[in-house]
Amino acid sequence: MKHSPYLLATALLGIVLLALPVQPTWADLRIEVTKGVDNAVRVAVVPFEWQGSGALAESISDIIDSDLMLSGRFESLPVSQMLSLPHKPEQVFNRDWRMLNVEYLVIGSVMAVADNRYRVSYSLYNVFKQAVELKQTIEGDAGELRDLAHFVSDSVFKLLTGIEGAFSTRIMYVTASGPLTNRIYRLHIADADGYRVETMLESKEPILSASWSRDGRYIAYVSFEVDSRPAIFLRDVVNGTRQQLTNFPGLNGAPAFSPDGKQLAIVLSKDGNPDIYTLNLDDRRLRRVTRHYGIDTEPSWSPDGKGIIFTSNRGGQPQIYQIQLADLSVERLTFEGDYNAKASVLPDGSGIVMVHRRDGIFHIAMLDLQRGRLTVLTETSLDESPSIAPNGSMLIYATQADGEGILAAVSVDGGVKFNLPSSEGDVREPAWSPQKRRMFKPLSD
Amino acid sequence: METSLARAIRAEQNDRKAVTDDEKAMAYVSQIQREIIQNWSRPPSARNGMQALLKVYLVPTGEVVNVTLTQGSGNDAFDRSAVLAVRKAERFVVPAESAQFERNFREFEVLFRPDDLRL
Repeated sequence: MKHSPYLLATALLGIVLLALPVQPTWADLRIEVTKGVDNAVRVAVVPFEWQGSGALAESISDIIDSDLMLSGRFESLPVSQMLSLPHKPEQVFNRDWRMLNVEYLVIGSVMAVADNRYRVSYSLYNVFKQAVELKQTIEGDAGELRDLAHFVSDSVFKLLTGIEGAFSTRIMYVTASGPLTNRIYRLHIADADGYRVETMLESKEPILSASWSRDGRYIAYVSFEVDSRPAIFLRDVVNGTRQQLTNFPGLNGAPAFSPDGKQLAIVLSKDGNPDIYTLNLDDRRLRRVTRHYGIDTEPSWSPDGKGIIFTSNRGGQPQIYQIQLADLSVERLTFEGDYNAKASVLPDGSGIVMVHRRDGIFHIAMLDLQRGRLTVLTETSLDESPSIAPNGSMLIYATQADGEGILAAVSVDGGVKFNLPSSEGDVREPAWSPQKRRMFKPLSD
Repeated sequence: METSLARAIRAEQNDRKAVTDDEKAMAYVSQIQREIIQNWSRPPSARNGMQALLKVYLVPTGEVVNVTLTQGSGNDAFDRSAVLAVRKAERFVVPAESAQFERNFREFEVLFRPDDLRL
């Protein structure tokens, strides 16, 4: 965060004047600090010691290092600059790291404990306090080495930032490749760091509005795979089964799972113009939620499941509205700007993120629902589809770089921005998984 | 025997000295404050209005020998960032005069209370 020198100077002056003693001597001196610089945390991930034969398929410490860097909150020290390579807290020589201005160390080892089974023991060491902040041991099999590393990244991230890490989560997105006359669309799911890509679906027609169920087990999306007409499909991510949920005349779009996973909010135009409906997944009962001659679309649930926010042009321009499912009362949420769309609610309900147009340029913006304040988070044009990480601290969105669609992330405070490792082709419609791919239970020492 | 005039003069001199001492102390304080600000990186979970109160212990060279958290904010990452900001400074510039050091800088409190965050 940047402060003008003037601001800082007046702030300092203000505090110093406030601190002017009433009595001539200061019995107890108290200094107030109300500003900071908010640099990235300086961390060194020391290559983990490998206790086993042969080479390990993945370098756990490399993955941790790359995760922390990707978050934008950390600045890591390259291995080539490390003066020593400790694996245990008692091997840490503090001066080596203070000289390099490293604040925290991630050190540890990987041990083969049985056939195909690995044990990761690591410590997070605070250089300036000369103390271990966190020490854990976890175990996984050969196919879970990346998961073990992401688990460590999540734990370190949580301790140092106060926010749940999102490194063990996954991202779903759509790519388009091939010549314009013969585009191939694919729906992928990958780890949050872009690795371990799995292709869920391949189609010659666009794939739209992919969304996750809260438990991460199911996805819903719109595709044109049957008769080139839009239909909503439900897919079980674990066993790969698929079913078609809707086949109404006209628009079938924008599915969004309710927080309890029992319903989908969808958009149908079968009764005239697009309105919001809910669909029970067990008995397929359909309920019409909005009834308006304007276009109502892009539903998203409030975290308590009692309301749905959506985009509507009922006031003349696209704006965000909220409807209460109990009494179907509608409230307009956005008033700033002539275009607000694709909103979703932060997990704590404190705000919504959406696409906001300002001076003809599309941005991702956050509206603080308590204070009514709107903050533009990204300065990129052509932004679309913000999706919130389960930790509520980062958004992923699609944007353009060199004419291609890419995925980028921004923190809800706007302080950190980065582009996600890109896969091939034009990337669109990202959706952040609400759940972690794999959880580990730390062993007690 | 002291005249009332002499007493008055001496009282005024003492007052003046006191003011000068305080002014000096303030210069040191603002320097310490600046050092801490430059070393304070707040975690993303930090919010305006959070408060952490630390007690800082120095030796006459100005070196930080201990930092304790007297009153936490309820957010461990925030408290940890505050302690680290003081520890990273390592050494502060303090008055060379022993009495002044003992009075204000042997131990003092630092209240971390951000007001410049976005959220």
